[in-house]
Amino acid sequence: MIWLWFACQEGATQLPVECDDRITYATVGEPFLRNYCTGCHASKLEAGNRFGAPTSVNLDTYTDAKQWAVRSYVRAVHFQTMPPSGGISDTERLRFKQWALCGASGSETSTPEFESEARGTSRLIFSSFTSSDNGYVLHRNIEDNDSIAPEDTLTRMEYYGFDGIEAVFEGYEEWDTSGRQVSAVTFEPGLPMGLDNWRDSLDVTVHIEMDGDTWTEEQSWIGIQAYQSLWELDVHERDTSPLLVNWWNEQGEEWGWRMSSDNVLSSAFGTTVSGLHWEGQQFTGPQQLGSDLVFPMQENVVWIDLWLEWQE
Amino acid sequence: MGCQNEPSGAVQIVRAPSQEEERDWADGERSLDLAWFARASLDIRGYRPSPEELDWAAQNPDTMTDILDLWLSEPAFAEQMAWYWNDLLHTAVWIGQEERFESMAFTLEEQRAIGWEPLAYIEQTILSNKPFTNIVTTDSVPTNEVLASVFADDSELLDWGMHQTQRDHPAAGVLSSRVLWTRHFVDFLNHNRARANYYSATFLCQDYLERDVAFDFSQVSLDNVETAIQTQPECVTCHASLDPLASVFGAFQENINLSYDQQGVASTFKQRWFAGLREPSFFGLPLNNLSELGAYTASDARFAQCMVEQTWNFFVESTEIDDLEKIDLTHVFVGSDYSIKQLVEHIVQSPEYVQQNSRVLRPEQLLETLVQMSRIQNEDPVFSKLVWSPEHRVLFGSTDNLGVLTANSAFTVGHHLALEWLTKELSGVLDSDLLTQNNEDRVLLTEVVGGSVSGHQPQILHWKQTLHSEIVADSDAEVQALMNLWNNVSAERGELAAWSTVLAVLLHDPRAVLR
Repeated sequence: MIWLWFACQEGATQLPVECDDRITYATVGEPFLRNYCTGCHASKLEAGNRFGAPTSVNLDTYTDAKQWAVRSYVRAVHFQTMPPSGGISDTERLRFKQWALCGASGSETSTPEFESEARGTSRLIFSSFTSSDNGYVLHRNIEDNDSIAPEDTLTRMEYYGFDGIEAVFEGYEEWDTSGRQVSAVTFEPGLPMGLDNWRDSLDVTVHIEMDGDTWTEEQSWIGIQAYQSLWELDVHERDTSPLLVNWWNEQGEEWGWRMSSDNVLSSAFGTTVSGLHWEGQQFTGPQQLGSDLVFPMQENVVWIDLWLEWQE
Repeated sequence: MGCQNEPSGAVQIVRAPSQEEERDWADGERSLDLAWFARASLDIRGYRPSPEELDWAAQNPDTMTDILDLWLSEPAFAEQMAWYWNDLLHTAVWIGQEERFESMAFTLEEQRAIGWEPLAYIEQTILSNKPFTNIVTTDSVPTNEVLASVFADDSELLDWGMHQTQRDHPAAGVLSSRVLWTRHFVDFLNHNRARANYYSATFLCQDYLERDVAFDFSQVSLDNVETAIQTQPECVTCHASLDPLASVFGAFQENINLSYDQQGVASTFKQRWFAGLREPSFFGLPLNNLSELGAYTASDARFAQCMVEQTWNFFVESTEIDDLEKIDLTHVFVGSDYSIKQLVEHIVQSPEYVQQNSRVLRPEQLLETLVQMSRIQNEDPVFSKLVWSPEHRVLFGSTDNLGVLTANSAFTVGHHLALEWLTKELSGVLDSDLLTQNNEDRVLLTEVVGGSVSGHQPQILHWKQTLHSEIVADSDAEVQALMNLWNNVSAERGELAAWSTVLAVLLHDPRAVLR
């Protein structure tokens, strides 16, 4: 439609716009595209972070922006179908129209180039389980990146009690290598560890201390997901969907995997587990979830090491 | 296709010079007068021209802009710019959030040092003649003796300066200021989006909350708002770039917390927590930390344009900058290696600046004018309230980022009340002056000669010239009227009442409080 409209003017084809030499990629094109487009249409965004934007349509360099300039104008200015909810002012539309239809002049700008640092893989490098007066304490050292770096190691103690039916997770504390306490989290009531105590929903009050700040969150945990997500607290990095987590034992045997297509909002050093939803999962290890056995809680043994890896 | 006599796809670009292209930046100069001279002095340096400068300007009406370079080179320009920036950063006074300081039992001096820290990035960058991009790229931190003590820093600076801290500090200038992000705090459910929007609005002039988006709130349940943000196109429009930006602001405390802050600038652990929610990115470009955010910001055309817009708004409050004019000024700004001085020199000569309506002085401009007129110190515990006390400051038209979001430059009852307070306090100083025999020790009555009535005339002349930026002679009718007023009040109510009345009349005159 647009092409015909251009080509079928009476007499000499004229652009329906007044051009101005000051309107270039640097002064108008790039600011406009960054404000409204490159959040999804950027060449280094992975598929999971593009919100459906085709991987072939990128607008973060002059070369690409020029290639898509007229189409960008059509979508953002003429039909106003991009961005989906609009928000572009009339002046911005006019200037972008001038830029796009007057030849999309300009050149590459001097944008610094950085690469996303690897989000890393959490690795449990040691754990042991001891009993205490009120239940059990799980001692862990967790290394937080692919390379073992002592300064990235956390010491973590998890506290488990017994609610009369089964073990419950009561909370945890973490320290860095200098002995500074990084976090402390307490669940009231504790989170059930096994299926015997299954419930459809569980409202808990969570007291969180993190780097000197203290706050309380009211959280709702849902059935089996509460059980599963509990163990996801071990994962010290999170990414957006799709998320594939592979679990391995210390012999290198695959122990299971989980796949999520939703954003995972849990993270390290705290809880905030919401919107967690696993699309599929399979556990082939010695302690399958769903068995009658409570998740491995043998006392005084070095627990299996887990390498938690994911790929986008 | 069906078009006759048309080369397929041929396009003839019609170029017509826009009105803006014909713009003459010297337009404003044609109507320069002493009112402009005083206004420019106030806006650039924070105080009025001296009587000598007024004389010089009167004798050199065609070249009075020559003095701009001199004024822009004064340290007072850097301080004035920092005060303008307080209307954006809001750290000098913490209206409505005083308890966040009180709980830490800081002294007044410490509070001021903490509040000035983000503004010192602006001041020190201008003082050192560095490109203005320095405010978002430097890895040094501004500090003085007081702040270094509060933050247990290793600086030996007494007065404000930039300090290369031994700590691992992001090269992100004011973006790494823990004070700034304490002022602009978020609750944990907001996941730093408010900070990201504040950054975008302030440094890129892109305020997500200002976007006129089509959004049907009835379609989204508050129970699943986080899911909606990731899935609903209306939400994704903004959150696709806002949320990844928010992920780099997670490292800062909510409160000024010495027990932690003494250990470092930011929390790596907390940053990871928030970064885990969404992979950080700068409008789709890979982003890992604040240093990279600073580098992106400095190189982004929106930053240069935004600094032009913000500076324009400081100086020309009544007229929004035309977008093509902004491009022109950005060209000047970037071409001068991001020199704020060059930018301001252009702005104050623009027709919009020259022809704008009068505005009330800013609190710091009024205080500094009093300081220049007398021996009042700008650190005086009483008069400095005009600038540093939240109540006084807002009463005199400043913003607080809470109830008052836009500086009020029109004269209001608030200004009137502040002037009443001021004249009352000045009266107290006059009372003290009258008991002081030595002229050198007097604060306000510095020009009184002898004890005769005629000896009072130089004082009245001095006040009028300084407060009204006017060249007046002894025989001037207004001066004579003020002398008569002094005589009448003195005869009926005494000398203190006479001086207080004359000063009150001068101060309440629009010429004293308008620029």
